[in-house]
Amino acid sequence: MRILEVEHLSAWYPSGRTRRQVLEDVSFTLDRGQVLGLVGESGCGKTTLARAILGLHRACAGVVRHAFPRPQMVFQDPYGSLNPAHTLLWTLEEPLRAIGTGRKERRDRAMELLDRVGLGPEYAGRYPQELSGGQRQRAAIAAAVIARPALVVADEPVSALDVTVQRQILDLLAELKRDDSLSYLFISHDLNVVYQICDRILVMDKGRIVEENDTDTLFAAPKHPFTKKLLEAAE
Amino acid sequence: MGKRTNLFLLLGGGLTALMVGLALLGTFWTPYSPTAMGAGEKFAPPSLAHLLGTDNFGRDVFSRVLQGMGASLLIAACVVAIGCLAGTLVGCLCGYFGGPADYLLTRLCDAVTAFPSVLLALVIVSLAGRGTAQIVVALGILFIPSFARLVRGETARHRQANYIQSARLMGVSHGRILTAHILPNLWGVLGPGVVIGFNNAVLSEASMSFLGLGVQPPFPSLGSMLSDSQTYLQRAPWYALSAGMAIALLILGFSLLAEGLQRRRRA
Repeated sequence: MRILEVEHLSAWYPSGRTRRQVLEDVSFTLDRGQVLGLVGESGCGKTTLARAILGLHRACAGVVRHAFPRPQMVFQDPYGSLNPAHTLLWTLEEPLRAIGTGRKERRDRAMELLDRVGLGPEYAGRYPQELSGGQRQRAAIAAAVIARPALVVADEPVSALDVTVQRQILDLLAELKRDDSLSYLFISHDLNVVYQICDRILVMDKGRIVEENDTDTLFAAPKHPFTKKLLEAAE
Repeated sequence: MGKRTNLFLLLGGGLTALMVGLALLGTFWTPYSPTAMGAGEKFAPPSLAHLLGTDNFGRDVFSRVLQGMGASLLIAACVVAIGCLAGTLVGCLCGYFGGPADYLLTRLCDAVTAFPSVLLALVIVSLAGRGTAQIVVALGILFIPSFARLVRGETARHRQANYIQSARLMGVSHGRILTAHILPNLWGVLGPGVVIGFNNAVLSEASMSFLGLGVQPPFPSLGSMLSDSQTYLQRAPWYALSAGMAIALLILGFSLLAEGLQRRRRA
């Protein structure tokens, strides 16, 4: 089942009197339960694509179709993705409040999810400032998935973390996906990370998709010169 | 910094508590009636019966200072309340929604701030008449821009934050984002802002009353006492000193408290 269809998506940034095109005619689809990787060098338009898909970037043209409402996003910077004025419990309950879940169920689900992301009930009353980067990213992921979205767009979710924590967060994302038939659009500049978690991969260069294939084929037999260059650089 | 004691907060808090306590006391009880003439001899120097002496009508200066402080603080509280509430509302809406209305209101605030506030208050009072209520409204309006600017900047900064973007994706309404997601982040800057506002309001009220536009005689106000006592500066220096010191100590307390709050926030 298709949960996301993107057709002929283009996007711009205003630059002086003209506009600078950052996405050019991007089309792809994402099936339920799949992890789609989006790789490319920094500045190639990956984050703009993520924001355009979620409706956070206005200056764009094309069609984006979501099969389910309220896709969520996990950001690169774990320091800015949690509200510093609220406890983790409040932050986890907020998506449920927005869809009108009752008080008791909100609390139960928040506590259960805290446990599942490896933070435990003692973190319920903590503020983001009291957590490490990895813990914050766990909390941010919990807040993204608590209302059971079908799609989570993860924009470089492990790039700001050190390698051991990266591994833990990737495992957590994989585990949440197994249980909840979630789909991810997983954005990264790091091919090693993408290889570990993605089923299919889109390679992006200068605002265009230059190659798309399933992970094993892409790594074994890259076709586009840019993909080859990326793979060589990663080794 | 960590565990080092915040001397500013301690001293400022203590001094402010003491002065506000005295002012509160003055609204309920004073040794003599502040308006009773001939409570003692005219120009009696400080003594045990009259702690701060008496003035040109033989009124007890200590009683007048107590009640004057109460009046000054009450006016300052109303002024800050008007400025803070309206300023926060304007600042939140401007900072969050932006657009032409934000541009217009920001320019208006800049224009108001560009004039000396006492001058503008004079204009308002000359239009609306003199008296306590007029002073409160005039100063209250003049205090809006500083709060609006403070809140607007902070709100605009938070609006860009990822957690606000997340909240939008979750389907949280604009109203709830402003009140439940952004507002709780503003207390940190509003706290010192309110204390500094208090400081400025006490000074402004004293200036207005000094010019005879604020609290009307015979009721005491620190500003009008300072104004009245000028004539007797050599004959009864305790009169002017008492009113002046009360203003100075109030301002000092608020300034230290504001500085302490800001240091605590930065730590």
